[in-house]
Amino acid sequence: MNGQIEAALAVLPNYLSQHVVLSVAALVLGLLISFPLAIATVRRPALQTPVLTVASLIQTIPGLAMLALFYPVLLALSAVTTQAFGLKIPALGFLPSLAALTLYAVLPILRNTVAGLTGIEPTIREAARGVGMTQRQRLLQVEIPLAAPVIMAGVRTSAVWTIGAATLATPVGQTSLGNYIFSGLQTENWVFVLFGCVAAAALALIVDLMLALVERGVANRDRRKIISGLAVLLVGTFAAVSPLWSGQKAAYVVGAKNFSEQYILAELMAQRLRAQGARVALQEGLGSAIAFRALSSGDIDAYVDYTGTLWTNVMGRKDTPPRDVMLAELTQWMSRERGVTVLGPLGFENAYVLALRKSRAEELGIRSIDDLARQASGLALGADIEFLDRPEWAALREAYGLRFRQQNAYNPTFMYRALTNGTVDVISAFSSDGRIAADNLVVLDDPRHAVPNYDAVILLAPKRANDAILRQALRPLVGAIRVEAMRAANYAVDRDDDKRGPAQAAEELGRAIGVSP
Amino acid sequence: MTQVQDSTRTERREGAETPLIQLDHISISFDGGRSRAVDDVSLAVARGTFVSLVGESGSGKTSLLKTINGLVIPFSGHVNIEGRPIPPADHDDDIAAFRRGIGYVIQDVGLFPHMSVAENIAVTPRLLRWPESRVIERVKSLIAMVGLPEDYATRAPAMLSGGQKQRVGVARALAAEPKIVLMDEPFGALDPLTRDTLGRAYRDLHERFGLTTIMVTHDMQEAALLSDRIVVMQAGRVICDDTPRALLTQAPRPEVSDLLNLPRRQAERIRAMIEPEADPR
Repeated sequence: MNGQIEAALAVLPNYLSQHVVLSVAALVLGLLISFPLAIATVRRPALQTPVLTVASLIQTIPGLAMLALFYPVLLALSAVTTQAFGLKIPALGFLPSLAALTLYAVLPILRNTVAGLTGIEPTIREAARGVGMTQRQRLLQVEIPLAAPVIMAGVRTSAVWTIGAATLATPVGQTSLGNYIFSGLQTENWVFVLFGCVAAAALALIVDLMLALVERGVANRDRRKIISGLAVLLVGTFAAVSPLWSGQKAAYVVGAKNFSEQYILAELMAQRLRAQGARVALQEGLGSAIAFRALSSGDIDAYVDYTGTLWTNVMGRKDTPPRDVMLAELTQWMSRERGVTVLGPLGFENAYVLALRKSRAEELGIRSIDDLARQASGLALGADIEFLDRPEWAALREAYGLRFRQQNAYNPTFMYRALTNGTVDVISAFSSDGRIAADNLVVLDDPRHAVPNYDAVILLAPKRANDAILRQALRPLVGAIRVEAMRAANYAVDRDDDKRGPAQAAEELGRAIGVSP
Repeated sequence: MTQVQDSTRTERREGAETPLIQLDHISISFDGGRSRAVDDVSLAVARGTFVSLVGESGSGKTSLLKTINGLVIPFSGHVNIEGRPIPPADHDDDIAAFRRGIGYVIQDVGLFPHMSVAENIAVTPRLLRWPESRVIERVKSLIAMVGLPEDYATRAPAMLSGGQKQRVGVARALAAEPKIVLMDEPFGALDPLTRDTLGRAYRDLHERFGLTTIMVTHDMQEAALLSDRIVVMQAGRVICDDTPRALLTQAPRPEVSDLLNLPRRQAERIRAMIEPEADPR
C-alpha cells in the first residue's frame, strides 16, 4: 500500500504538470472562443438559439467519444496538410485533447455570458444610452462589469468540467492525472485509481475555490479578493507546470496499450533505454488501433504488439499460417509497406485461448477445443467484453462448431471470479495472463489452428529503423521472455495482495530474465 | 463672407425666433406603420422653456420625448435641434456624442449599480474627456446643488433612498452642462412630499442654468406647478397646448379641465373635513 502511494507520488509532478497545462490551455482557448461568440450572439438575437443549441449538443457528446473522434479527424486533416504544405499535424496527444476539451469549455462560459449580458435591467441599458455611451462603451463600462459575476460563475463551471474531463485525455496519448485512473483500472490497482480521482478532484476543488473568491470579488467590487484569487491561481499554475521547464524533452517515446502486460513491457523497455543514458517518456494507455498508427506516424518510437493482431487488423489477412511463416511475412510486409521495423519476438505469446479449471477439465476429460465442442451444449462460457465481437471468436465457433448453453460477458476480474466459483465452465483468457497459473487453469489446444499466433514483437518507428541506441537497448529482450516469466510479472501487477506497480514488476522481470540494466 | 451666410447668423442670434427644439410632423409606429403611437405631431420649443408633456399611459408622450435624444426613431417626420437634424441612429459614435449634450432623467433613475454616486455623476463628463480636476469639482458642486450630503459621493446607489437616487439622477443629467434636459416621469416613483421638494429644487436649477426642459408626466398638478407650458396628448395627438394659467382658467376641453380641477376639488373636500359648514361639492 505504502509502496503504491510512493509510486503514485513519484509520477505526480509529470502527470499534474501535463494535466494543468492541458486544462489551462483548453480553458483559455474556450474563453477566447466563447466570449466574442456570446457578445455577437447578444447583438444579433437571431443567432442566440442556433449557437446555444449547437453548444449544448456538443456538450451531450460523451467525453471519451469526443476525444476519440478528434483522433481520426486530425489524422485526416494531417493527411491533407501533409500533401498540401508538407505540414504534419500530430493526431495524438495534446492537440486532440485540447480541441475536445476546448469545445467542452465553451458552453458554460457562452451560456452564462449570454445570460449575464441579456439579463441586465432595461432601465440601466436605457440610462447607458441616454448618458451618451457608444455600443462599445456600454459593453465595456456597463454590461460586462454588471454581467461579470454571472460570467465568472460560468468560468468556474467550465474550469471544473475541464479539469475533470482532462483525465479522459489519457487514451488518446496525452498524459494527465487520468493516467493513474486508466492504468489503475487495467492493472486493478485501486490505490492508483483512487489517487488519480482524488488528485483530479482536489485540483478541481482548489481551482473552484479560488475562482469563487474571484467571483465574489467581482460581485462585491472587492479588488483584494480578485487579486488574491488570481494570484493563487497563477502561482499554482506556475508551480504545477514547473517540472515541464526543468525537464528536457524526452528523446524516446515508448508506447503502451491499455493493459498490464503492456505497461510492464513499456517500463522494461524504458528502463533499458535509460540505462543507455537516453531520456525516455512513456505514452501509455493507447487504444489498440491507435498504438500502431502512432508508431507508424512517429508519435511513439517503440512498443510491443502481437503478430496475430497486426496480421488481421493491419495487414487485413484472414488466413492463419504457422508461426514462423507468419512472423517472416509480417516482418517483410511491415518494412516494405509501412517502414516499420519488427525487431523480433520477445519469446512468449499472448493469444486468445479458452481455459478451464484444471479439476473441471480432468473431470470432463477435456484437453482440446475439439473435446470441448462435443460437450459445449451443456457448458457456460464466460468471455471478456470484447471477445464475443472479435474475429477470433467467429473463427473458433466456425472451426469447431462451438455452441454453448450460455454465454456471459464480464470485465476480466469478474470473469476469473465467475470461473473459480463455478458460475461458468470455460472462459476466454489471454495465454500470458498471470492468473492462468495462479488460479490453476488449463489452456485448451487449438488443433485446427483457428486462432492465429499472437507472438509479442517489438516494433520500431520508421524514423528509428537504424537507431543504434534503441536497437542496442531493446535487442537483448528479443527471445528472452518466456511465457512463465511474463505470467509471473502480470500476476504481480494484477493480484490483490502484495501488489506491484508496473515499473516495479518490470524491474523484477528484468532481473528474472537476466537482462536487468 | 457672403450676405447669405450673414443673414443666417442674424437669424440664429435671435434665439426667440429659432426654436431650440423643433419637431416636424412626427409619427411613431412600433409595428411598421400599421398603428401609430404618435400621429403627426409638430412642436417647437423655445430656449429656456419648461414644457410638460401630459397624458394618460399610451398617449405617446414618452415616445415623443425619446425622439429628441434619438432613443426612438420616428416613422416619419424630422427632429431638429438648433436647426440641425439629429445624427442617424446607425452612426453609433455620432448619436452617442450627440446624446452627451442632452440631459436625460428617467423614472427608474437607472443609476449604474457598479459605480459610486460620484462615478455615476461623472459618467458623461468622463465620456467627454473633461480634465479630471474639472470632473471632480463639477461632481462636488452638483452633489451640493441637488441637496445631498458631501459624504454621499462614495456611496453605492443601492444604499440610497428613492428620493436620493433621483437627486443623483438629476445631478448625472446636468453634469456635462447640457442646454436641454429631457425628463421621463422623473418624480413619478417618489412619495408626494419628496416629489414636491425635488420638483421645486429642479425648477430652481432650470432657472439657474437657463435650461430648456421637457418633462413627461401624467400628473397635471405637477405639470401646472412646475412648467411654463403644458402640452396635453391623447391617443398620439396633441389635444391642447398652452400655459398652465390659461389652461386653468379656460380649459378648451372638458377632460382637460376635469384633470386640472381635480386637485382643487380634492383640496375643497379636505377643507370640508376641517370646517364642516362649508359645502364641499
